[in-house]
Order: sequence, then structure tokens, then C-alpha cells
Amino acid sequence: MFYGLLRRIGGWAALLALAFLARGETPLAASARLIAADRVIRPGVPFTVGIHIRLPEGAHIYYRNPGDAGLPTRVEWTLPPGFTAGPLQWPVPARFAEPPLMSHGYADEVVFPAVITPPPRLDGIAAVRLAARVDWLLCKESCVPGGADVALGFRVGDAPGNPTPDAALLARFVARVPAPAEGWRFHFEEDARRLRLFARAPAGWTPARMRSLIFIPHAEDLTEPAAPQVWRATEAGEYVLDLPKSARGAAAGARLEGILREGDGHPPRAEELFFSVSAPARSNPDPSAP
Amino acid sequence: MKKMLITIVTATLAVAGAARAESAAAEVGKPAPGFTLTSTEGKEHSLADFKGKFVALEWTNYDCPFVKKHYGADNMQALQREFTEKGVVWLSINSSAPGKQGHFTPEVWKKRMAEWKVAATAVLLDPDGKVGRAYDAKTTPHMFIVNPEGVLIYAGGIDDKPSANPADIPGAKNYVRAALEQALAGKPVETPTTKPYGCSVKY
Repeated sequence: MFYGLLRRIGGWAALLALAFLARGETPLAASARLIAADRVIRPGVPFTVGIHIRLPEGAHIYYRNPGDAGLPTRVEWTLPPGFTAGPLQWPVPARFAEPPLMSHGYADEVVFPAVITPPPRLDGIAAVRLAARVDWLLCKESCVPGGADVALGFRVGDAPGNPTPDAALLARFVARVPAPAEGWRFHFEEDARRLRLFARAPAGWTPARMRSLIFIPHAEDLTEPAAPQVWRATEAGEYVLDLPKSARGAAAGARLEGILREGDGHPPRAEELFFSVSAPARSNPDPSAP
Repeated sequence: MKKMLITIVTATLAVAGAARAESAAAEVGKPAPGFTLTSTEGKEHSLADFKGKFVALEWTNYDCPFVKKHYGADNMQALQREFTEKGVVWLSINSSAPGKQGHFTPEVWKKRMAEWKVAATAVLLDPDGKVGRAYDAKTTPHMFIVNPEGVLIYAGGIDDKPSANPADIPGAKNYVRAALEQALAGKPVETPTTKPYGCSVKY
């Protein structure tokens, strides 16, 4: 919503970069491009593209819920007539602790996938070009707002094309978008000061392993990002996590949406456990719950 | 046994300490945490000195792009001038730790303040971050307003456009101006808490 106004930030960021150069410092800058696994578009057949962002060493950009500081990364599509873009998909973020503050984002590189749906007919069209504007806040010790205009050309055809050199990169980050996990059940309760997430875990989840799970809500400013997260086992065989609300104390509403991830993401590991959470509000709060 | 007792006592003290810090934390509608800090001019200022006046607290870091947005466009100084003329005390506070971004010597502070024509009552230095932590100051800028009775009546962002782009200032709703205008007119503050935006405070 705010970002329509941010469109002109590119020119402003360039000025800022010039100011850094004038002071003899290396400007902090990231680069972005649009990637696809296949450069052939078939009429009416949805396909996934990704916005690939490479970051300088030690810097990060922000998740949809950036935490205590920072701004969410933002993407606006410019598509040919009849094409639609699905919601931006957010790979699992890492947590960046700057005591007493906590933020959520990505270091090194990230791909934000999105599903593009072409119109059912593309008669007489041989090639199309998809474009997007991406804006981010890049922070190391200091922060620099930045962004890029990215675009990619496609051929219209009847059969899939050959995988591009970016197919594996895109697939790697599609696999890092948290999805619902089997065997888990969630619900939540809330009052003015806190949210309580209840989890029924699959067999094999010990209290010790539960304590490695960190919850990050989708919504910005709902909880205190730096508050310690301590899962407790209840007598009913569930686990419960108390999440203090932010000072603004907004209500989560009917569902608490977010992700659970094992550990904070440092150092990055090839095999990480993470999944999405969509917890309904408990209809009959259990007054005996601790 | 003695060692165990010491451990228990230490743990109890730690818990008590944490509880005390929590109850003293800044909360809108409650008394604002008191403090005494030294200004860039080497003068001590206490919040208690300003009882009877409205006090605006502005967490700042002159090298943060979000702070530069508001100073580069004369937005922050315009607020400082407008409300200090109406009797409001305006204290900018810097909680950057030594060696971190935005931590300057008093000489550099004076030069930077002159460059931007800063119109705050005083710029206070909080290098150990104690006051910043007491207020739970998270970003630069992060704004607070204390009423003449010493009660915190606003905590949050400067406006409703979380960006580092000065082009967003004219279309933004300035929460601090609205809150000060309402409070000076004897009305309750309509939006007493908002999410602050900006760089993290460099504790």
C-alpha cells in the first residue's frame, strides 16, 4: 500500500550511492533478476517464476514480517494483458538478533517465487515479456534502501521448453517456502497482552526438540519479535507457546498465520525443518489450561 | 550446599531484577521512565526538570537513511521549531554504542547539528543504551511524548509512511504533530501507539 509512492526510490538510492562514492566508501548494493525454469509459455498453463536477489556479504533484506526494524521486500508486477500473478511466496527467513532487537530476513541470496497465469488464448502472440519492480531495504551495520526493475522474455508455444540454467535455483527456493506439515494440529488463544499457540505434535517430538522451534507470524507488529520463545508441555499432551503481543496489541482475529522453523537459521544448513501454521482461534477456551 | 544456596539467591535476584525492569518499561498511559543524560553541550538534563511541560523524545541516528529522510527534507526540524515555539521541550536522544553507527564525539555532533539546523531543545547522549532500553526504543526515528504530569501519552512512528524516501513526506499523516496538537488543545491523543519504522537502534 505504501509502496506505490516508493517507485521513485530508485533514483534516490542512486543519489545515495553517489554520496557514498564521494566519501570513498563502498556502497552497499544488491542485484536482482527475474528467473524461470522454462522460457516457453503455454496459453492458460500457470508457471512459476522467481525474483532472484544477491546480497553483499554480511548484509540482509527483510521478510514480509521484518521484525523490530526494517521494511518488507516489495514486488510489483507489470504483466501483459490477460496475465495474472499469484501472491509473492516468501521462503523461510532467518532471524537476525541485534539485542535487544530482532529482525527476520535473508542473507547471501534469495528467490521469491510467484505463479504467473497466462490467459487461455494467446492467438497471434509469439513472445511476451514479464517485468517487475522490486524494492528492498538492505542492511549491514547501516541500511540502504534499494531496488531494481527486472524483466524476462518468453516464447509462446504448445509444449514445454528445455529447463533453463536457473531451473535448479528456482526449485531450491520453491522448496524453501514453508508449507503445511503433516501430523500437526494447531489452535490459539489470545487476550490483550499475549497470544498462546497450542500445538499437537506428531510422535517423536520431545520437549527438547520442541524448544528448538521458533514461531514467526506473517503479520507485522503482532508479537514482540525478540521475546524469548519457550514451549511447555501441557497435561493434555499438547505443547503451548506464549507470545507477548506488541505494544500496539492488535487482535490476531480468527486465525493465527505464521511459520515454525527449527533454530534461527544461523549458520545456514542444507537440511532445515520449517513449515507453515494456520491456527484457528479456539472456540471453547479451556479454563484449566495453565 | 552453600554453593547451591548462592545459586538460588542469585537466580531469585535475577528474576526480581527482570521483573523490576519490566514494570519500569515505558508504557503509554503510565509514568514515563525517568532519566538523566548529558547533552552534546556537556549539560545534564533530567526528565524531571521538565515537569509541567510537554516533552517530545526523538530517538535519532544522523547516519540512518530514515533519519536523513526527515532531516534532509527539513521535516524533523520543522516539527522541532513549531512545537518548541509552543513551549514543548524537544529532546533528541542517541543510543548508539561507542564504535557503532551514529556514535559521534561532541564536536562532530555540534557540526552535524549545525549543518542540519537542528532545532531540538537538546541532543542527549545515551551511549550505554540504558534510557533507550527503558523506553524500548527500537528504531531511528522512534518518537515519544510525555505530558506535563510525566505520563507517556504517545509512543511510535513519526508518520504513517514507513519508507526512507523523502517524496513520501508530503502525503504522510504525521502522528507526532497530530498527538502534540491534540494534547496541547487539552484533548486525548487519538492514536497513542503506532509501529515505529526506521533503522534499528545501534545498541
